[in-house]
Amino acid sequence: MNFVLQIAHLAMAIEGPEPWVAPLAEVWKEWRGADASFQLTLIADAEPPVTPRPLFQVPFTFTAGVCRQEAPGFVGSIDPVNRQGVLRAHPQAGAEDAAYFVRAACALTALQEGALLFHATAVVHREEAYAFFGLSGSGKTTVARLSRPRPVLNDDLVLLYQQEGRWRVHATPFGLRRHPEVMSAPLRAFLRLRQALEDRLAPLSSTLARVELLANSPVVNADPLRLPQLMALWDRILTEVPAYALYFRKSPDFWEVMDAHFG
Amino acid sequence: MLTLDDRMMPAPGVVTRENDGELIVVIPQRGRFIVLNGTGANIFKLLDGRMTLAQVARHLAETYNVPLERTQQDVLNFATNLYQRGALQMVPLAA
Repeated sequence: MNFVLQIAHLAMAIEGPEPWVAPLAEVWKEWRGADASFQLTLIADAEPPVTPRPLFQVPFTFTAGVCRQEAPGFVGSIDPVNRQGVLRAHPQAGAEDAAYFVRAACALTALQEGALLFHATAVVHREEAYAFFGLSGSGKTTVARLSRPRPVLNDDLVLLYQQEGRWRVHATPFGLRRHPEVMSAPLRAFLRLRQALEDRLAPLSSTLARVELLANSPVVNADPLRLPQLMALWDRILTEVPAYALYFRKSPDFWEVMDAHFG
Repeated sequence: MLTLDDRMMPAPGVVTRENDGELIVVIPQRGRFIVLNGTGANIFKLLDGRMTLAQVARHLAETYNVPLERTQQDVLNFATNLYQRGALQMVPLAA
């Protein structure tokens, strides 16, 4: 079975057994594309032992720019330069494992195309997107919930892509959304989340911003060969988009602080 | 455990970048990101495998006019910390 996943300008043809591809095609139907230059092949292979754990627990390794994931039950490789990826997985692996592999391929392809898959909750407010990021447990999902009824492009992974001279945040299928009719918005600011007893914005040092944004650039930040390119891209983004620390209580009131600052 | 006779160098795959007088040290294999202040950055740059930790300490003590004994302990602590976090590796004695 075939399905073409298209997120902004990134298009990826996914070919594999129906039990893996059909659920993804259904969940990702809003991102159905037509033509793709990247080919991802999923192969059910009973030869490896039964998968002992989910694929997301398998670390990435890199050799000469090719990403590999190898564990009992899985052998995967992604070659973004040659625009192909292959995952051999035990038939007992699930569609969620295939989805995780697709996410990794998207992260690598995005950087290859000058874009970035970024761990963040992106909320659209007054037609601009605010990207809230932080470590696991910092409050990304909470912010998405507290930001009702504003559109949420995604509460886990978004795509940053420069169009017509401005960085935009694009919705992805890799997490929860609200108001799915809103697919992208120009990026206004990055907000590093810190739960606190008050709502306030504070400057985020240039170095800390870079480190934290790097840390939230999945997959590509594990490849030493790609890190210089990744760092240069974040440098470029941060010359155009400001980064702050947002101290917030578990209340929607932080938007008043945001409005006072960003207008 | 490291000693002042050891020579240290960045571990394979470690990537660094200077920013605003600080040094970002990325250890991709471990998913770790370390920020060194100006002093730490200066020490890290000296740990290129050519000097022993004792020689690095002497160089810093002379450059900054600080007591050698204290500098030796600081350099040893610094190198041990970054070694344990995967940013540094020991240079083999034969190298």
